[in-house]
Amino acid sequence: MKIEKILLCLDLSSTDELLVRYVAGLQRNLQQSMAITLFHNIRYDFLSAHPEFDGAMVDRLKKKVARELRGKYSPLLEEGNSGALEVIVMAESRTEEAILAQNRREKYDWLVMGKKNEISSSGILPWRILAADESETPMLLIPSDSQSQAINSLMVGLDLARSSGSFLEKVTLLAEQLDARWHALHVFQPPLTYFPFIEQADDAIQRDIRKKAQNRLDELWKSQRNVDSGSVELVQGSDIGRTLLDHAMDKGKDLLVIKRISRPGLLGHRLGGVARHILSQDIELPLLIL
Amino acid sequence: MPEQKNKYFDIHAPVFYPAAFIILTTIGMSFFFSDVIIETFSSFQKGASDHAGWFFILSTNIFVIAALFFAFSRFGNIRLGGKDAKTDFSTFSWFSMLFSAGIGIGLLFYGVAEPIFHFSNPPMPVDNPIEQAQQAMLFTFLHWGFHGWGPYVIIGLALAFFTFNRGLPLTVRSLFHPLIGDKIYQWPGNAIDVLAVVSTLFGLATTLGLGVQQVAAGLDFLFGVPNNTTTHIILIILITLAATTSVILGLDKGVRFLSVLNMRLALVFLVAMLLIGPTTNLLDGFVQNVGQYFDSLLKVGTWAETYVTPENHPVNEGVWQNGWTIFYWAWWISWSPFVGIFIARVSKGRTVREFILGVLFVPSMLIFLWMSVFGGTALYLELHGDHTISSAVNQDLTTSLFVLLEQFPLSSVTSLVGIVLVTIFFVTSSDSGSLVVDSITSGGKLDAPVGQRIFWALLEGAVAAALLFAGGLKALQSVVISAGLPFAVLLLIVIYSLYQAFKQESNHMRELADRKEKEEYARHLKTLMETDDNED
Repeated sequence: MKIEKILLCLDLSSTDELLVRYVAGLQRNLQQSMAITLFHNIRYDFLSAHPEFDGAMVDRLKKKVARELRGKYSPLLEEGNSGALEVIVMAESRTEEAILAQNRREKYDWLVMGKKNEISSSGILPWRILAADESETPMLLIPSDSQSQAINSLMVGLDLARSSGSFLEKVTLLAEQLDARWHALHVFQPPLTYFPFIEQADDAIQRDIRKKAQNRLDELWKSQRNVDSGSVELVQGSDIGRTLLDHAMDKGKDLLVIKRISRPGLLGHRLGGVARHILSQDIELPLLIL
Repeated sequence: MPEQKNKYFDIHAPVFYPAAFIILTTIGMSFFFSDVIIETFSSFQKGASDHAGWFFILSTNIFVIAALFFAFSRFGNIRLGGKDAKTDFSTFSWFSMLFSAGIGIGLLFYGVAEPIFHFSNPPMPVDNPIEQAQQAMLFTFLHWGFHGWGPYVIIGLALAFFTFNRGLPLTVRSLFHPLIGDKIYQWPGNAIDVLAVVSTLFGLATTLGLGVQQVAAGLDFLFGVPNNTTTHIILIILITLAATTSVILGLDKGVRFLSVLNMRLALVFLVAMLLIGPTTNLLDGFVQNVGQYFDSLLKVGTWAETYVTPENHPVNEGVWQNGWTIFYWAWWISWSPFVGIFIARVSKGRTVREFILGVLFVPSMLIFLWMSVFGGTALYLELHGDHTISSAVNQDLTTSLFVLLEQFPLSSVTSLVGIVLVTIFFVTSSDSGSLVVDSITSGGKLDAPVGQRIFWALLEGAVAAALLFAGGLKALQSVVISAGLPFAVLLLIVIYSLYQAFKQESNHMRELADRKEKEEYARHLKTLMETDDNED
C-alpha cells in the first residue's frame, strides 16, 4: 500500500499538533520518506465576518499562516524525513472543495484530518469530503482526545461483500509496512434485532448465519497471501459500529480500519452505514477509512 | 408581579389570597355539605374510571415511554441548571428525598395488604395458588412501579428544566410557558397556581387525616391506646409540629436530614424483615418478581380488563380495575404537581438522564424489594396455610403490617420501629408539601421566609384536624383524585412542551460550541495579523 504523499489538513486548533505528531510517528513506523503537505483553508465565516480583509490583507494573512505552520511543525516532521514538506494556505469559500481540488491535482495517498466529537461546525468536514471524494483516497481521522501515537496493532472491521478480498489485501500490506499485528472482526447482526416475533426460529437462523459467515471468512482468509500477523474473528452484535469500537478499545488497539462502503449505493452514496455510524460517534481511537 | 414582602412573609398576593380563600371556604362547605361533595365528586370519579380508564392506561404508558425517550436520546446529556451546574445534595440524600416525598405512608400498609388482596381476589382468572401469588406480585409491582413514577418524572423534569435552565419560577404555571408565553405571569398563570396550591394542600391534609387514623389503629392494636378523635388530634398536632420544625430548619437541615433518617430506618427495617422472615424465599421472590415484571410490563401495563365480565370471572366482576389500577393512576397523577415541584427543587445539577433514571428506576427497584420482602412474607405464610394476614387484611387494613410482624420474633421492637417509620414518613410528606406550597405562594421563589413556612405547615395540620373532627375527609379525597383526569391531559401537553424545549436547548448547545470554535479561530488569526511581518 502506497503511503508516500500525505495531505495533512489543519484547522489552527489545538488538535493540529496531535495530528502532526501522529503523522511524524507514522513516518517513523514506516521507516520511509514521505512528501507531506500541510494544508489550511482560511475559514469563510471569518472572512465574511471581517470585510476589512480585502485581497491584499488576505494574501498577507495566508503568508502569515503558512509561516506559522512551517515554523511550528517542520521541526517535528523533518526529523528523520528526507521527503518534501510543503505548506499550502488557501482562502476558498468551501473548505471541502478546496481540499478535494488539491487532492485531485496532487493525487495524495492519504488524507489526514482531525475528528471532532460533534458533527457540527467543522466536525462535518470529513463527512463532506468522504461523501464527495470520487478518487476514494483513504482518510485517516485523529480524534482530539486520542492517546495513541504508535501503530502496533490494528482492529479491522470486515464485512463479507465481494470487495472484502481487496480490502483485506490492503490491510495486510499496511500491517506489513507498519510492522503491526492486525485483528479482523466480522460482526453479524442477530435476526432478533429486527424481528422479535421469530423467536422460535431464532436459534436455527443464527446457527445458519454463523455457519455461512464462517465459511465466507474462511474463503477470505485462504485467498490472502500474507496472514501471519493477523487473525480473524466472528462476533454477534446488534450495533456493528459500536461492537467494532468496543472490541477495539477493549483489546487496546491503536487504529480502527474500516471500509468506506460495502457495495455502491443505489443512490450513488460513497459512505456506508457503518462508516457513517462510527463517524458520528465520540471516539478516542484513530480511524482509517479505506 | 404584585408582591407583599416583609420579614416573615413574601407573598405573591394573586395566588396566596385566592388559594387561602378557596381552602377555607371548601373546608367550611365540607362541614355542612360533606354528603353532597362526596356524591358529586365520587360520581365524577366513577364516571372517569368507567369511561376514561383506557385513557389513564394509555397516558401512563406514554409517560414512561416519553421518559425513556428523553433519557436515552441526545437530550439525556442536558444538565439541569446549565452545563456547569453543581448538585446541591449527595446522591444518597437525593434518592432519600425522592423516595420520602414520592412515597408516603401507603408503602408500609400496602406492602403487606396489597399482594394479599390480589391473592384473595385475582384480577385475571387463574387456576392455582402459584399463579395467584405471581399475579398478586405482578399487579402490586405495576401499581408501584414505573407507571406510577412516570408522571412524577415528567412534571419534575419539566419544572426543573424551566426553572433552572430557563429562569422561570418554580411553580406549576411555568409548565405552560411554551404554550402561552408570558401570560403565565398574568391571570391564567395565577389561576393555575391557585389550583396547584389548593390540590396540594387538600391532598396533604387528607392523607394526613386518613393516615393518622391508620397510625391510631396500629397504636390501638399494639398498645391498646384508644382509637378515638382525641388520639387522632394529638397525633396530628405532633406530626404537624415535627413537620413545622423541619420546614423552619429548611431544606438542607430539616427535610434532607429527616429524609435520610427515614431512608436509613426504612432500610434497617427492610433488612430486619428480610432476615427474620423466610430469607431465601424472599430473595428468590425478589429476583422472580422483578423478572416477571419486566417480562409482562407491556402486557399488564396495557391490560384494560376488556373481556372480563361478571359471568366469566365472578371474583373480579369486570370492575376490579376501576377500584385499583385506575384509582392508583388517578392518585399518582393528582399528586404529581406537588411531588414534581419537590423533586425539581432538589435536582439541580443532575443531567436529564440521571434525573430520569434516578426518579424512575431507583425508587421503583427499592419499592420492588420492599414489596417482595413484606408482601412476599405475607404470601409465604398464606401459601403455607397460615391465613392470619388475609383475615387481618379483610377485617382492618391498617393492622396488617403489625399482624405480620407479630408472626415473627421481637415483634414488639419491630412494631415500634414500624410506628416510628410511619410517623417519619408522614412528617417527610408533610414538610416537603409545605415547602412546595411556600414556593408557589411566594411566586416560585426557592426559599420562602420562615413565617410563611410555619403558616402553611400549621394550616395543613389545622385543615386535617378540622376535617377529622367535623367529617369531610373522604369528600376532599374524592376531590383530589378527581383532579387526576384533567392533570393527565395536562401531562400529555407538558411532554410536548418539554420535547420542544429540549430540542431548542440541544440546538442551542451546539450553536454555542460552534461559536466558541469560531471565536477561538478569529482570535488566533487576529493575533497572527498583529505580529510584525519580519518577525516570522
